[in-house]
Amino acid sequence: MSLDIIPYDKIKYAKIKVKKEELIDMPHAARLQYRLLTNEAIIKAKVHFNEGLIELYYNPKGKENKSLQPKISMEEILKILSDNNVHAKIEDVKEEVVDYKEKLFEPTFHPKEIRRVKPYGW
Amino acid sequence: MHSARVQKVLNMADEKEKEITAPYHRSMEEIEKMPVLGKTKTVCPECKLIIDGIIYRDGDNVMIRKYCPEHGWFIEKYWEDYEMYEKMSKYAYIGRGLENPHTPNLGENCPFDCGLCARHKSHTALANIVVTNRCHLSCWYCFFFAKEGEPIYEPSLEEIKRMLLDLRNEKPVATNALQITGGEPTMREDLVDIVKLAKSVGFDQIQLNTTGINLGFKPDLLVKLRDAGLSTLYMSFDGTTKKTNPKNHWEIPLILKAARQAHVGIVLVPTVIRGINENDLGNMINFALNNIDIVRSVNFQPVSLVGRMPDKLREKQRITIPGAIKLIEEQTHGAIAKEDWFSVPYTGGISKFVEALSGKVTYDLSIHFACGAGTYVFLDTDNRVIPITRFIDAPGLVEHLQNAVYEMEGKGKLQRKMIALKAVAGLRKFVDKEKMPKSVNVTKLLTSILIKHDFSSLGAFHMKTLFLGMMHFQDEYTYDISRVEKCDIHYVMPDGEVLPFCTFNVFPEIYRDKIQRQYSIPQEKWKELHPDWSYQKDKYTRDVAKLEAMKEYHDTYDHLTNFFELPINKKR
Repeated sequence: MSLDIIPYDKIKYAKIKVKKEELIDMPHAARLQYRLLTNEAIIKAKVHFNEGLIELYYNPKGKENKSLQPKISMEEILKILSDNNVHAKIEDVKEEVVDYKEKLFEPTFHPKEIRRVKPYGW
Repeated sequence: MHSARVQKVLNMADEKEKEITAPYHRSMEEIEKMPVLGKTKTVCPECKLIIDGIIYRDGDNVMIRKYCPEHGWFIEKYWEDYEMYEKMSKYAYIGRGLENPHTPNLGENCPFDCGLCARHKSHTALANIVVTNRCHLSCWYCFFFAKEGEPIYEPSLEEIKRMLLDLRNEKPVATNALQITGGEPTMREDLVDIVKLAKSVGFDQIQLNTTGINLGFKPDLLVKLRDAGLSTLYMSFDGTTKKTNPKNHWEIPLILKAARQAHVGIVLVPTVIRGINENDLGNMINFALNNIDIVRSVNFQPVSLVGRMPDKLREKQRITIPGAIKLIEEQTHGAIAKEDWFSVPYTGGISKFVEALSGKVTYDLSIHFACGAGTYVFLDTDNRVIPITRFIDAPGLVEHLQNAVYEMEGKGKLQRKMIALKAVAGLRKFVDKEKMPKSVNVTKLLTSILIKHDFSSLGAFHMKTLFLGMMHFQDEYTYDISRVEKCDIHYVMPDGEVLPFCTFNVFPEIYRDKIQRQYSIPQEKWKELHPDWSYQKDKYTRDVAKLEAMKEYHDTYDHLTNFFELPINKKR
């Protein structure tokens, strides 16, 4: 792998519906997010306490994935959640294959303007 | 048996020890009765649960306590001087984050939503870019370098350019100060090209975070770096002795010589650890004053105890900004006293005035008051060491400017200009000409900055003064989310994210190490791409006898003037 190459090609984006009460509260939801992120194969994770929803970008296991980066399957992700007392089934998961560069990399380098600020005193 | 005098000193040391450790050992019943100064959100150092942090006063100390339902209580020293805490907190204000944050997160899971997100409250004032994780040293306490067999992170010029443009694209204030860091950046053959690149995309201030060792041996490289646009060396300097500064004590004389030849200013950067180098702080400032022609600043960094650490060791090593400031007062015999220091957001009063006058959003240091402090000292022609606060009424001056900002609100351009001119004319009353150093015209300087917005005069100002700074980075024990969301020292990452110093380094497992590993290559692959490279070849071997025999070594260390022992500085 050369350093100019983006580390991922096709990755997976998943939305996992979970029970809000299993997330407990926002601090526990934040900790769950931290714990998911400690997994090398989970590229991004967002735990939405209020919506009872987990969003993930991960590097999926599979023969077609040539990436040298660590990989994980959805079953393994659900096991991590279950170890954290958040029980979701495969039916609760909606996922799609996305292009890492297009979906994550480029938007981070070209973020949208979301507000304007004015100078102090004006 | 000790003599009575020695016994007295030992008793004093015991008392001091008690003073340091007592707040850690009170019962919770006692602690809960203590006055609460503030509430914040923090993390459990063990499991990273977001929990409440209570900032409270314990005698002269300001402490933070937090309770994790799974791991119990954590008590940590937050700030070692209540009076200074009160003074510094007066200058706190909420800054502005980015108009175009790098991630779409809103920050409800802060500090695990980082990138920067919409919740962040400061723009990037200084951006760090890691250009390699290779290093020629192998310091046992450092996590920033690739050990043998570990992947190499060394972004290409193309990747670096992408990251630099990412910073320059930040709105409303494009990042204009860059620190090139590592590993050891001088390990890269193309470092000059990196500096050129940074300059070409618009960075005004480019610092190189380095041990300086390679530059000491290759002075021509420093000349090339200067020609490419390098402004300053940000150089590790942990003490004035072999014991306190084993990292580069022997090479410092060569580095100073190279910097003089290249006319590149140096910021000395000591990491302050209680029990290691806390008795050398005054000497470090004195060393800087002895080299004031080339040393622009000493930027002390009280240690950040990252990683899990036993309570006893934390108590022993923990030092906070006021702790270091009070030691400086002792060690300089009051020539630089605790009253001379102000928190970094103090400068907000000045930048707000400049903004209100110009109508343009400008560079703004809106960090949390507990994160940084600073002062300027002048070395006058008669060897007097004069902190700026001895002849400028700093609180009065900033209040005066703030009042002018209020007055300018809603007024037209011409009226603003009139108010500003009146305000600047009124600055004279805050300057005591009798006590002012003879070598600098402060009134002229302030006028030039505030009215003409001519910051080049600030450069000239730096040439005649020494800036003393304190920057205390957080760790899991002191972690305060209200501090990290105001951080303005950021790291740009190869995936486009920009991270505050205290998320990047405190949670490396989800930020620094994780992202860098994604963009690294295995050492075997590195070796294939660089056939002449070996891990051992990267490492520096010191010839102590040879270095100690050098003329530069003796010139640097043997004839230091001790400014703080001079009668002119002692009598105050």
